[in-house]
Amino acid sequence: MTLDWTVIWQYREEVAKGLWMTIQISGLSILFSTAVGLSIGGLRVIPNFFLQKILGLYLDVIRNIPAVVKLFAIHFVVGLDAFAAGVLALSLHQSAYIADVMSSSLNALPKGQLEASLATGLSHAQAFRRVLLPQALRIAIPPLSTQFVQIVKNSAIVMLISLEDLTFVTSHIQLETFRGMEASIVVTFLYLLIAFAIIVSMNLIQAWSNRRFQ
Amino acid sequence: MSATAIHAKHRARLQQRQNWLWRGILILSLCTGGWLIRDLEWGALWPSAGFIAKGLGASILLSVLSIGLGFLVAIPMAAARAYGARPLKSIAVACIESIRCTPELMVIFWVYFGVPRITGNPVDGWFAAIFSMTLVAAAYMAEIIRAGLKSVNIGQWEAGRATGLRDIQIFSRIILPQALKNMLMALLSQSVMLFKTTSLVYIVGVIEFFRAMQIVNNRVYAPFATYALLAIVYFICCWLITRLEGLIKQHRQ
Amino acid sequence: MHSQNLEPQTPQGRQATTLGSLDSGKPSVIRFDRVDKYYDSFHVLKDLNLTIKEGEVVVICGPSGSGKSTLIRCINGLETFDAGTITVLNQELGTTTSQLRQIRREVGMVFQNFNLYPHLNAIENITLAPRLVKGVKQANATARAYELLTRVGIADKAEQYPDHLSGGQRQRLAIARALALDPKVMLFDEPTSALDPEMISEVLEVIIELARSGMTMLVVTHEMGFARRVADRVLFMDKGVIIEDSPPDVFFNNPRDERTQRFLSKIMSHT
Repeated sequence: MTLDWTVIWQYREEVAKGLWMTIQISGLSILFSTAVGLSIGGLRVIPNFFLQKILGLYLDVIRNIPAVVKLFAIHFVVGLDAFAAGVLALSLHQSAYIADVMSSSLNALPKGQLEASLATGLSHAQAFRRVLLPQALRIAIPPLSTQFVQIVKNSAIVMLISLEDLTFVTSHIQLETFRGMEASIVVTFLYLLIAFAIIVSMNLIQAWSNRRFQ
Repeated sequence: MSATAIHAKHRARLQQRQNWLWRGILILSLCTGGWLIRDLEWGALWPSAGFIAKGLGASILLSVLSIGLGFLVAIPMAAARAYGARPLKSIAVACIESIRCTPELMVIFWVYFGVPRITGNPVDGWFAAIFSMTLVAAAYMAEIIRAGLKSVNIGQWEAGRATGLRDIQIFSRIILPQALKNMLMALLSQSVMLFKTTSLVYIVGVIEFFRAMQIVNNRVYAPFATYALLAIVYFICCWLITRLEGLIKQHRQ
Repeated sequence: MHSQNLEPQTPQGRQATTLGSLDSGKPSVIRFDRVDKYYDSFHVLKDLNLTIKEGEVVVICGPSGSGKSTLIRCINGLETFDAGTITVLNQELGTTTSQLRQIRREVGMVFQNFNLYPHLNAIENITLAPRLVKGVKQANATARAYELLTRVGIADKAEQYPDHLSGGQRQRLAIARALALDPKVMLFDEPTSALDPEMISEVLEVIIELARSGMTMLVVTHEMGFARRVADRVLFMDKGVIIEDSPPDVFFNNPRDERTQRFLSKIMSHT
């Protein structure tokens, strides 16, 4: 088996475009899913019975349906264009897991923090915003990092609705030149690079927050 | 939070009532949901029921095979990463992490494009599907098993060695069973995830549940019913496994 | 200074003690009327009656599980109760959330485990509540915080974060934080139990100074020397009931109840 890398060089523009598409979709999905996930996760600690049951059900439904099904449903049935459908489906999917990360971070805090803030007359909302949330976010950084890498990985499914991301480019190269193996190697390397960039950035954020909050 | 003047017994009764109320609401909404979607184009899907069922069977078969094989592969990988000497450990880490960090679709492509280049023969869809899903399963389960191995008290090793057992015996008879017991929950969750991932293998031509539904939908054009059925079936399958997890947890206690 | 009415013991040995100072000049600040509380089926407060007047320093002691922490946590609503009424500063507990918040502005609490906010430094720990709850401007809040830090003796630690402070310094910071809202009542839930022995006295000194300045205080503690020095009354609780309620000289030298005596001998044997 001989590896012919020149083919990849020929397709470098396509690969670059694919990379950009993957970055765009992943980036937007990271933003939206984190926003939604943090909010739902925050809601998960309110002790209202029915609220929790409803939230739990909502999260269960999202978690148990594969991301591809959601993607296709949003694109073909709801009718959104491929890019929007991709971002929406990915964000929806991952927000359920991020909500879990958030609620377990909040639950990991010592109960005394809430008690102390309530005892000085803070409202629940004030206590949440000023005391609980900052601490929970710090705890949440490592698992959030994992979630973000998951988003990048899941972004590959958008090729199935013909969005030209890295995975699409791989398949495209195989179809035209039968050099799918080389393409796979390069594209996998690029995915790993993105994942690495995310992990390093999150580590930096963690280090910064440790310094700032001592 | 207002101070309640309800007696504790009342409080327990209130919780019970809330639970029943919730169950009632669920059943009611299921019924209304069923009533609402009864107008969807189920009739169009019905003739292809056999085909769809075969697809679902394929999904389940694929999941079971890849989880089983993946599990067997994952054990030595986990052991290598947990106990191996430097070079072995690094190889194991490299394998596990590269599979875990690449999209599942890419793993499928790796197998589908790469194996023919190495062996010179084309691969059939099913082979590629099983191979790639097994790799994915193995990588994720290896991490879970590794955590399980670490969670076993180190004294177990010492006890085994003190009675003259060989390391491989200690590992297989003493350490591994305990690790698996600890990690059963996590492994089941991982199985749910793998079942959902099998929906991707249609790209290499395997007709599993997702693809079967798509084919039918393309023929008879019943999008709402199609996706409703997809959502319902996947939800039920995953939910069943989660209930199983819950039962096992209860049985343990 | 106080005269007490003690109802005669019932044959079962239970007593319902209704205490109160008869000098009508001092208003009642906290009142428990026939309060019951259950944790599931465990009866943790039994038909409890207690009155605390303005300016009184009351120490509560007793074995663990006696309900003493639960009792003071009911006062600022951190625990709910199942029967009876609790009146704090002329407001009956239990009507609305905003009323509870109002009460919490007037009642300060110091916890056994400090519960300081780790992500804020000392000054910020103190100024958070005044700014958010009372709308005090940042500059005023900070100035007041410095005053309080000086009062408790850690002014030099103003910019430090809690995990750089020793246990004794942390608890003093916690006291300063509780004082920031100018409360009318201070509650202390075993303030020195989590401290290393050499740091206990620095915290007790602060609490004693506070007591001498006229603050109404309820202190759950095992520090009997402290009780002897500043308490107006010492309460002994066991199994959800107040067994003994006397001024320190009576409590320590001539306790009315035999159970009090047994408890005292147990804790005195290692001080």
